[in-house]
Amino acid sequence: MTEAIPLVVQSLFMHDLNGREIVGDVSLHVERGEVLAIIGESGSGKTSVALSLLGFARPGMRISSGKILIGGTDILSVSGRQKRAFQGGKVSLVPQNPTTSFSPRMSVGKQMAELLAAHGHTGTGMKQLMRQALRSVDLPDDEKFFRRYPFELSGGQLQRIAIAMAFITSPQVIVMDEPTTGLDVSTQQTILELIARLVKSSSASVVYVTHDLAVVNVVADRVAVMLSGRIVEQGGRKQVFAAPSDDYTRMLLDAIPRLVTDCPAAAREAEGAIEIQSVLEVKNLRAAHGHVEVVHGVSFSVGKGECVGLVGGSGSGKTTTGRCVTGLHSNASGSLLFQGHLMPFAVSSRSKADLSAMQIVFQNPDRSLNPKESVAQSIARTVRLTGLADRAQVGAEVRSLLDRVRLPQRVVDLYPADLSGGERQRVAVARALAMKPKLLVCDEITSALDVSVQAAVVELLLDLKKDGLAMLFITHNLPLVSEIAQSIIILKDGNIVEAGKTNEVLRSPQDLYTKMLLGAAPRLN
Amino acid sequence: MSTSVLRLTLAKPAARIALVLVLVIVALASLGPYFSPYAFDEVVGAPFAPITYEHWLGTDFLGRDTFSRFLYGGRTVLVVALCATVAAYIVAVPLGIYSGLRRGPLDVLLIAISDVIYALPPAIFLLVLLASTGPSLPTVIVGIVILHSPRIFRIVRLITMDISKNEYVEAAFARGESWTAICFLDILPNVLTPVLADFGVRLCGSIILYASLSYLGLGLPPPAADWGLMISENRIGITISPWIAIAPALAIAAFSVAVNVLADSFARSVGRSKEI
Repeated sequence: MTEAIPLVVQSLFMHDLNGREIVGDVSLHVERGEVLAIIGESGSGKTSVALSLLGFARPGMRISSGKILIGGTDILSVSGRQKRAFQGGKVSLVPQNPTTSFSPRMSVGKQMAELLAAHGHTGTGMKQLMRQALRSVDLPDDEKFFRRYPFELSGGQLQRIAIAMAFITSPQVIVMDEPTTGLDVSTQQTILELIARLVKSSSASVVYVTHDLAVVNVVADRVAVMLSGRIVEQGGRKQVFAAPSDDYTRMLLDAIPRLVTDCPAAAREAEGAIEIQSVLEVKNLRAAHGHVEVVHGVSFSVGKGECVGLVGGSGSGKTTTGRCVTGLHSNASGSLLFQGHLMPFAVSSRSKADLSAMQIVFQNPDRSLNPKESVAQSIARTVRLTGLADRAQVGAEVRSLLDRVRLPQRVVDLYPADLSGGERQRVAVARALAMKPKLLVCDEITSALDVSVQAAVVELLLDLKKDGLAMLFITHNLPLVSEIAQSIIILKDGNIVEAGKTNEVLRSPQDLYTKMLLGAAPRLN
Repeated sequence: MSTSVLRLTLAKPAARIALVLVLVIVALASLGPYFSPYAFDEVVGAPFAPITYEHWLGTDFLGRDTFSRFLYGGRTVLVVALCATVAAYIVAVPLGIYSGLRRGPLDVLLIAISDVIYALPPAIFLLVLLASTGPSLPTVIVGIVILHSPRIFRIVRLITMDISKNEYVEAAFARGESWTAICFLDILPNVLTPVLADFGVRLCGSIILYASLSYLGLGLPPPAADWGLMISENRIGITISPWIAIAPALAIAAFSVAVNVLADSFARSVGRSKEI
């Protein structure tokens, strides 16, 4: 008799409590040692499917029909103790956010031991398994490390432990829910390599859920693309990527920013205008959090109609630099020359004109809009700051701003909770534009968005740039920068390691760190 | 506030029963005097007379009609509790927002003051206050406000600090909005929802504080009718006619529980509704 396929899902349906279909007719299977990637945008039901593989449905949702066979047994038909033996034993999960998936009040050793104890391990055998597991993910295996608490470890280290814990019970199926999304590129690369190595050595079947197609290209053998609860395309990775049969897959693939190293079209258009007028000049900027200096003397300038990309991993000081420029971080020294005059660091000592001429758009659109203000209210309020008082004029201005960020007029009376992430980010951009700024600081504004939405936002920014708006574009995403920025500044640990024209830097990187970043960015080709 | 939060609040039967109870007791306390069969201070028979058709709850230790006194006695406790609680919010919410948003030396001072008040045992503080100034309703209200405001202040301050970390507040500062605009448009509406959920608990606290004071004879002076006072002045007859004490005690307890259930239900529904 041949061995049963480790994971088979047969026409799985999931509904929410109102009876709305969340997942419809999903069927898939994963062979031994195979990695199946489930790709989809937010709301596509990919995480719901992933959690259902552990026999679990999120609150407010239920599995209405279908079969999930793990090693031949339907996990939906078992319950109680038997089901718990499956969860973590035969099928395990690597959750998305390592910092919230560990209990903050328990040492990591204890949390690993808890898992093993629940699956019948005790004493020295258990300790040995734990040591072995930590070694397999390249972490120290001494007592001191076991006694560490989650807050003492980095996101990358925690994710390694989470992965070690997923493999420790030698399960047949491992579900990974966006395990690298919160990590920066270089960490992401090592984690992906680690996963590939562990899969090979353990021959477990892996379901890898992600929205990042470039990551899929690195890890997956087969791919399933999900759109509003249904699988629209399933097949070998090479085949799907080379010749997508579904329109949606094709759209997803087209939306991904690619590393443009040879003369970006956008740069060519504006090339002539750059040198004429510099909007912002930063000289020898130093910034500290408390007494710890995190930015050590950074200098750069942004010209009219120019987009400067500020690139670096987490902790490189790129966000702090952006906040210093906008006046939100005043624990700094150096000089800021804005439109030819010296500008103080604190918002409170800047002139009204300076404040309105420089606007910032933040990473997380959920937090950058007041949940109690409708779209119209929050934009109108900003419009009134510019001195416009007449009701009709303000209304007209709001409408034209919405047009400019290509939002339909029907959103005016909606609240942020009614909008999608991409729409919220556009409202945030519209609100920033209401002040008629000369310089727009964009702090990772696309990293919380899906690729297709990201593409639309980037298109919008390119449009704005054509109108002469200067931009400081802060990001960790090199391919994205290559599409939008003429100049690029690479930051590492608060220092500029390399700066120059985007295409020159990306084509022939001089610094080791830049080369590493370029090498680490997962690519499609 | 939207209709859907209200609907969610009243979704559970317990919350609906609580609402009915609250309305009945409020109606009883406010409209009761108009329907009372006798005046509250009129002696109508022998002391501690049993329940009869004329006297639904018998008579009290002086031979006054207990039912009439019960109808009169709720007014003060509810009005005092409501006034004190609302006043405490009026004092504490602006201070909390100021402290949470601007910090600085005034914040440190306010925290120190609130720490001192936290350290006072509530009942003893009120007793000392009333003993030194003489019992009067305004003093009772002031006392309850002093006791409640540090607690409200702390909550509002924390919520404000949490909200001000949001990027919409930072963006408002970065585009040069005034402090007033940020307080009224960004902070206050977002503070109000969690604070309203807390209101019921505070109101309950005020009711129990006032009832205790009134029981100790520091509320309305006799011969006025007052639920807390009724319990204490009739305690010698509690074995003969227990209903004299039970009726006001039950009304206070039922009102407290009902207000708490409603507040709890409201607090839960706030997180679940999108609009708020």
